[in-house]
Amino acid sequence: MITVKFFAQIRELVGTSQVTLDSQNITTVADVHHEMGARYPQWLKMADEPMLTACNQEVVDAQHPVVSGDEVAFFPPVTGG
Amino acid sequence: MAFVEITPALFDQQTLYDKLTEGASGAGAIVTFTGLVRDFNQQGKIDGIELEHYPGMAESVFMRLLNEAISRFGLANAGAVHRVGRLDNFAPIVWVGTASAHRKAAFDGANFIMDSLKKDVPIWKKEWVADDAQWVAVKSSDEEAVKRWQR
Repeated sequence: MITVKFFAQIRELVGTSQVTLDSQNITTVADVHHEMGARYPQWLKMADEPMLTACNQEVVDAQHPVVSGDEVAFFPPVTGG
Repeated sequence: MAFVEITPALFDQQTLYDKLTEGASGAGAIVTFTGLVRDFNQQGKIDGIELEHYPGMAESVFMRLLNEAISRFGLANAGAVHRVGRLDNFAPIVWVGTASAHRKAAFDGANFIMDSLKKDVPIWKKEWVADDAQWVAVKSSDEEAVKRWQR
């Protein structure tokens, strides 16, 4: 299983803060992104918005490998401080 | 020891100052910065903000930043607290403290931490106006500010 977390605008758009995914057919962050698009029609609304991805709480790019047990997160550029 | 906390609770400046100095033997300079909620944005008045963070990642990225500041500027210690949740206008949001032998390193370290925090630590801000809230977009001035530390 892969845990997928969403924050800020993305969490609100998806309507939940966390889902789990079967890790079959998932090898990269891009695969998780694609699966989210298939699961949530509203995901495509964010296609033009900047989005960051983390795997196990480290920012990574789309080609980063994902294996069962990983935590993947999608969030907008940060605005704290 | 560097310290980081992300909490909805109001922080106590003296407690943080004491914690910073206890871990900073030989320091001759302390710089502290406190960020407050402004009561306006570019469109006009606002009615407070709301902050969300990525628990676990926000703390670890923040701690890495403090340790980077300590090694890069030769600080004796560094600490930070960032609040989350709903905050009223003028409430304290963030506190950063640095300790060093001389003042320049303490000022530079605090500036580096604040500029980098706005780019790297997974915290997001929403501004409330009456009953409506809008997520804050990244400011180009913040993107520019962090560039001065790149090497």
